[in-house]
Amino acid sequence: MAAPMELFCWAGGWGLPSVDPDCLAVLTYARFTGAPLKVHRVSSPWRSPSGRLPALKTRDEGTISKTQQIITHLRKQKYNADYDLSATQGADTLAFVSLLEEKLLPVLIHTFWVDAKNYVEHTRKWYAETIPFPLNFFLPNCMHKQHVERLQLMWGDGYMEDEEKLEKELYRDARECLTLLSQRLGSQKFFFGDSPASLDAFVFSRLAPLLKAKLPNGKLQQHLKSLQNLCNYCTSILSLYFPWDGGDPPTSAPRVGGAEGGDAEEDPHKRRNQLLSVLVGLAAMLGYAFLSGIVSIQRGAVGPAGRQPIALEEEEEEEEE
Amino acid sequence: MPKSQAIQAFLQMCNLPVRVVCRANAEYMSPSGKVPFIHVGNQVVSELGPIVQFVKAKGHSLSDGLDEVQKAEMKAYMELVNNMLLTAELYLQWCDDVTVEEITHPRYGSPYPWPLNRILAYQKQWEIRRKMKAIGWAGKSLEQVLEDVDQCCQALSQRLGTQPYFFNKQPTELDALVFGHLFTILTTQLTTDELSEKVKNYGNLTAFCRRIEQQYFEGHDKDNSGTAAARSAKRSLLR
Repeated sequence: MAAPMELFCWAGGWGLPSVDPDCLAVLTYARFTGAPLKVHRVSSPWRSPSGRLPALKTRDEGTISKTQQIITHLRKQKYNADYDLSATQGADTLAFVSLLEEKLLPVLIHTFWVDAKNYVEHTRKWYAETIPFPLNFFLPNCMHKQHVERLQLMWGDGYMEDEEKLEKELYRDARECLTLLSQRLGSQKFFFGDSPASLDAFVFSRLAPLLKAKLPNGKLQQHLKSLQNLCNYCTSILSLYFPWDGGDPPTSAPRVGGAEGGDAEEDPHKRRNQLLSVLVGLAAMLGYAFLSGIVSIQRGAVGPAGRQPIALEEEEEEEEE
Repeated sequence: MPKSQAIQAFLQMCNLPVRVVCRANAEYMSPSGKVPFIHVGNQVVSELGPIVQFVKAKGHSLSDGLDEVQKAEMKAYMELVNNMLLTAELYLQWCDDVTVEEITHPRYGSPYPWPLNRILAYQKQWEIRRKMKAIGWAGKSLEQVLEDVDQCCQALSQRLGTQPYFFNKQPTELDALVFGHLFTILTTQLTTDELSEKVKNYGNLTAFCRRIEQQYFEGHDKDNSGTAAARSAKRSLLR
């Protein structure tokens, strides 16, 4: 409970503290419970200790990478947002989380990563701009392939055979899921009354990217926008718990250190990378020039004897021609 | 197995007559590649979701009496069962080495001659393991899977409470689905009894299964003109 744990997650964008639903779920849960986390917003999974995001670096148990496991760990450290829930409400939480994961999350992944227009014009563009050189050339494509494969395995072989029909059905199920969530929420502030629970963290993390991203092809987004209570729900959580539009509030000291440290980390690396690439280019050119004899240093007796005659001969040849 | 029990239960709850037929090539007959499926007139519909829709379109529905919030909860609990119980059953059948060797491979390959039985069984196993990896269950140990099943049963038991059905007096699709899975878990012989022990821990769930079996399956055993194999495969919770 004592030492602050470190959380590595995807950087923020589109008005959100993090663009990835899993990272957002963990961040939101931590905010709900007031867990002291040092947040590192990184722009590539290679910066994370486990190679995947989100990742929680703990003192005793190494690095944890799965969203559910991270939340369980926080719960064990006494940061439990579900403490006040009754047993039935706990059961409902399990059920609704399953509903989200089965019906909504796959379609969300499809909307952002598989739908051609959205992927090319929005998702890939954002990731290519955020991920540092040279990873930005192949990492988004890599992630795209992983997501497509995951969806194919989840949806079975029928996915490749009759794609359009299956997509229609799945989008219909996702819209139904959104409507059901809206009905369950009703006019309450959170799903279980006045204080937020882990279910709220999950729902918010799935809905917020869908609501905030500017997608060119947004049929699911439009349906979400038509459900007013869900939109208000997302906006109120954002304004209550992430008031600086994705930035960390300046009041909390360890988190400021983390965020500033994170941002400061970015700049010197970027400059260093640029400087390095220029130096490498120069060294390559000079080395080639020396080796092929275009440029040679004439210092009298110093240097191999063979070089000078060759250099002179080449100069003579060039002059003749 | 659990899905066919669930669909049978559902159809009988709707008071629709059903005849069970076992075929070795059922997976290939089905339009989506998944079993079980129903064959009505000249239409073939597979999987519980589409079957429920199909039956609803014909004018039979079990969930009309529910309000919006209850419908949302029903769908959520059905997904919970699909997410946890179904995946746990698949894991136990195909990813637990002991069970795979002793029970699953022989059973899955039994209609086919050697070497086809081994090849098809390995193919299916590989397919299921890939799927487990995609949804993140590949890294789980057997204890973790059993713990998940326990959590799921606890949630179902909480929701059921002391009522006869999940939504009070009338059975719904959720009851059929839960019955299908729990009945299979309780009656299937596996190498260990741990899975069925987890379910037996919750008295109201076993009572629920017994009640549905008595009400909907006892009287229909005589009407069923299924094959002898189907009849002998029908096991009972009441011993």
